[in-house]
Amino acid sequence: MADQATFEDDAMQFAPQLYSAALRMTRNPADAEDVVQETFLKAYRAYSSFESGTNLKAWLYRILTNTYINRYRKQSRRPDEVDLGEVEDLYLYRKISAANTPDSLRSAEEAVLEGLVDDDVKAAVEALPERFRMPVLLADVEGFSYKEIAEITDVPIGTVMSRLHRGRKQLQKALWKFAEERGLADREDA
Amino acid sequence: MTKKSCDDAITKIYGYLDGEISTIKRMMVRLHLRRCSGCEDAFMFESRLKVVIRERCQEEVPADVLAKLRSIVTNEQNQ
Repeated sequence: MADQATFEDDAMQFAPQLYSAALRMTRNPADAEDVVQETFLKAYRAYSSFESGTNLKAWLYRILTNTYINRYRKQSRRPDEVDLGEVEDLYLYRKISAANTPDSLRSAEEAVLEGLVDDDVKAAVEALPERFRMPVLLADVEGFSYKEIAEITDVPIGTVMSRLHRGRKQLQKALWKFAEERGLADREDA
Repeated sequence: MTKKSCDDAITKIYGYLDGEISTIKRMMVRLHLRRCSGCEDAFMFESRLKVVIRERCQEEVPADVLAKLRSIVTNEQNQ
């Protein structure tokens, strides 16, 4: 069992990541701050039930995710869960390929990967409907395994995988829009 | 490369990049990538995109938020 006296030393290192994740979930700093504070309070109070030596980061993310869902459940149940339609695999890569000749492809890939700014990527993640945003955030930003994501979000692993897959395709579609707006992919004349 | 072997590799792309497929499947994917520059290029792109997504979603925690988190713990300890 974990000792509450070491909570600050153990958990504080995850504060930046938890705050970043909370920002992507809530999409605004005030709510992110509230969610992270509540997470820390709950985590501290429950810390004696945390089994030392197991995955503290995943345990904290589970509390974070539950806190977010409980607070914003009303919003998340709103019908923002529109049908996303089918997006093809490797959407971004295929779009860049289609806009270029084999000669310009490499430099176009480079231009897109370098040219998408923080705000583009954050906006693209935040634009995902919640059920896709959570697995994408937990896998691609936080680096959790499928099994850990299933435990954190309390969703079966098969569902995690299919949502992650669809979420990533949707994310790439949004990133392509930014790349197009900025003229990043068109290297024909470059 | 044949369409089928490329399709096989592409369906495993995220399992491969996420480290979620078996060693045997990883080896089969690697074997294909060594022979197919088209798929290799796609895999490289997806792999780099993953890094871009992670790096560009990081935030600095405002100092006052960090201070509040510390004070939550201190307050609880003093109760």
